[in-house]
Amino acid sequence: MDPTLRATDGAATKHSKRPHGAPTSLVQPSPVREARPMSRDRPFTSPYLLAAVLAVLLLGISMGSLELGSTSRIGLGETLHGLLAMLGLKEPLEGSLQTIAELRLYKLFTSIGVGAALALSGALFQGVFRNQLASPSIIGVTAGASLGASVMIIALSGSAGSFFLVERAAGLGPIAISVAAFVGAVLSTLLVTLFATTRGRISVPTLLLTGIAVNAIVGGAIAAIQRFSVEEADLMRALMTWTFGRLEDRSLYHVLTIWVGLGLTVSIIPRVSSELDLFSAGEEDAHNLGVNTARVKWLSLGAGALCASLAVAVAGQIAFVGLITPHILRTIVGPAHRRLLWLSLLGGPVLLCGADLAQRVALGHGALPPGVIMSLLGGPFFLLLLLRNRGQVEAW
Amino acid sequence: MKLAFSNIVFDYVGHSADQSLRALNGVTGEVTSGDLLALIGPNGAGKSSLLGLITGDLEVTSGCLTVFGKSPSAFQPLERAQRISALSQSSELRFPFTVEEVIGLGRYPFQGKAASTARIVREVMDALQLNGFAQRSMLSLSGGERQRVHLARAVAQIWSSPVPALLLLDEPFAALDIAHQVGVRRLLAQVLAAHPVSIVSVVHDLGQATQGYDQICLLTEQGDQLAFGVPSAVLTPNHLSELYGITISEMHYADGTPAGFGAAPAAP
Repeated sequence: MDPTLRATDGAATKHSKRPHGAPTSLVQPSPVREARPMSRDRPFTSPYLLAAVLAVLLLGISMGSLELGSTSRIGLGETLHGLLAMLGLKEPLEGSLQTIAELRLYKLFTSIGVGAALALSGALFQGVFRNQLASPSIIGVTAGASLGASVMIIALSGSAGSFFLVERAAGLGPIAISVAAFVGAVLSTLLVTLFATTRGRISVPTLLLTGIAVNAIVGGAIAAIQRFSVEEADLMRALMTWTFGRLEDRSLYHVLTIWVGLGLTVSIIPRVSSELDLFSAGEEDAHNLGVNTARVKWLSLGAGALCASLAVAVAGQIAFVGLITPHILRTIVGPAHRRLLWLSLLGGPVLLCGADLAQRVALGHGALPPGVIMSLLGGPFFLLLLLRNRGQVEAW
Repeated sequence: MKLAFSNIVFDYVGHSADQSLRALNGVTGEVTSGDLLALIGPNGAGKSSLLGLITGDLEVTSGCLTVFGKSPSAFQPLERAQRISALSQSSELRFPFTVEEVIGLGRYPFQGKAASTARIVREVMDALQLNGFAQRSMLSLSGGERQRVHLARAVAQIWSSPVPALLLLDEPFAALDIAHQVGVRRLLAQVLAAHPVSIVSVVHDLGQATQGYDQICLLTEQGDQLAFGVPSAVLTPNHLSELYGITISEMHYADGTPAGFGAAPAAP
């Protein structure tokens, strides 16, 4: 080890004309430069405070949703009575009232699960692709799931007549549709990821462009399927369900599907949350910091695709929840995934159920399907996001 | 032996055979404890590829490369990261992490020791004059400031390492003004003095490359090794002129002390 490197301590600045063999006797450290005064760019809220606020909001929205249904024959009290009856703790409500209460509960729990699944999936995709524009709908994952579901609906209607007969029978129909949606989501995730990967690294611009292509292809395929089934009203309605999203008329099957999928995805959060933070400076840096990048990448993408596809399977295509929720949360509590991923589980349901409740209060029951509301809200938000990031577009 | 490579060849594989590109073509060298090795060569000479091979991010096409006696791919990811730290050129954060958080990420390989993480982050920030930046968002910093933070993260990764470690730096001075270059050099000196660390650094500034390094490796544009050895033997006007394909001469201050190398003025 040549001593001159060590000797540059303080010496080189004062003897910069003599870089080699400069005197080493100077010991006082040279102040390199005063750093800018202490400043904090973003006053972040405590994640616990935000979690508490979101939990209270979600509770309020849930109670509102149970109070206001398609009929004013029952309210929150009776619905909760119905819930206790379902658990075997009370006598069931009279006649159809118990059914109404159950439908409201299924709808609520499906909506919460779907909102959480979409938001978590968005947070995972954004983490892996280290871009806040990546989300299951933008990169074509929900479209792939929707196509899978549509194809399965056609296949089932061919063999078993009306799709609704199949679904009402609660037989293999819904399960087959869920599986088909998952397969569609996995295939589109794989397609998009592999297309965007060169030399083992994901290129985000290619990813977003591939997403546009996949969305266009799938949109065309779904439109073609609808064109050929326009004669059959039931089939058409079933397909429309997947295009615009549907949270009404859900059953215990839907609740279980989305919550089991959500549970599986939540179980990977501890295994990827700090690793995704390391991803945010690039895969190469994550590798150099000791992250098994392939494992974290595929675990996160697989779990994200699982939850997004099950959300589509039980409620159809609902765009933008996965895009907006992590984005808003990041501005409030910062980008660390150990906070972001968990808070998505509350933020997504607040957004989805809140928007649904708001449109019901404003427009009356069932005026607009959830996919339409989220598109009307989320589209402008997405434009706003682009507007704010205009200067950084080349940095995608 | 910390790092040894003999006759390594590395090809970037393209989509078809004729697209593959030879980045390194028979490079041999070694780094022993406490060493400071500079990689010098024109753009595209495979310097960054060599660093990528050492971290195990890339794999040699042929030849033999060992770090602490093992092939980089033979390490468990965490074990490797505890001993090999790297500052890459591609580091680019897209999310608004604070400076303190980013430097803390460097302690990921030593999981579950939060108290030591906070102490080391503080020490590294002190050493790089980053204290006033602790709570700043990375996205609000200038290019040079970001580079210092990324460097701080790489240094935090091997700070107070009890075992011999390797610090790989890809153009650590690229975006820094002269005062911060001095600051970074002082930090590296401090790291070398206090910890059992060797440094391999890609350098472009031929003035600075003459200072302090124990060994120099010259790589040509074709990925061939032009020379490897102590600076006085390797850094000659002949070598450098051949390396860059232009006439390069040694410069001197008025009193005769060497002042690095410079290109001769172009003929009018």
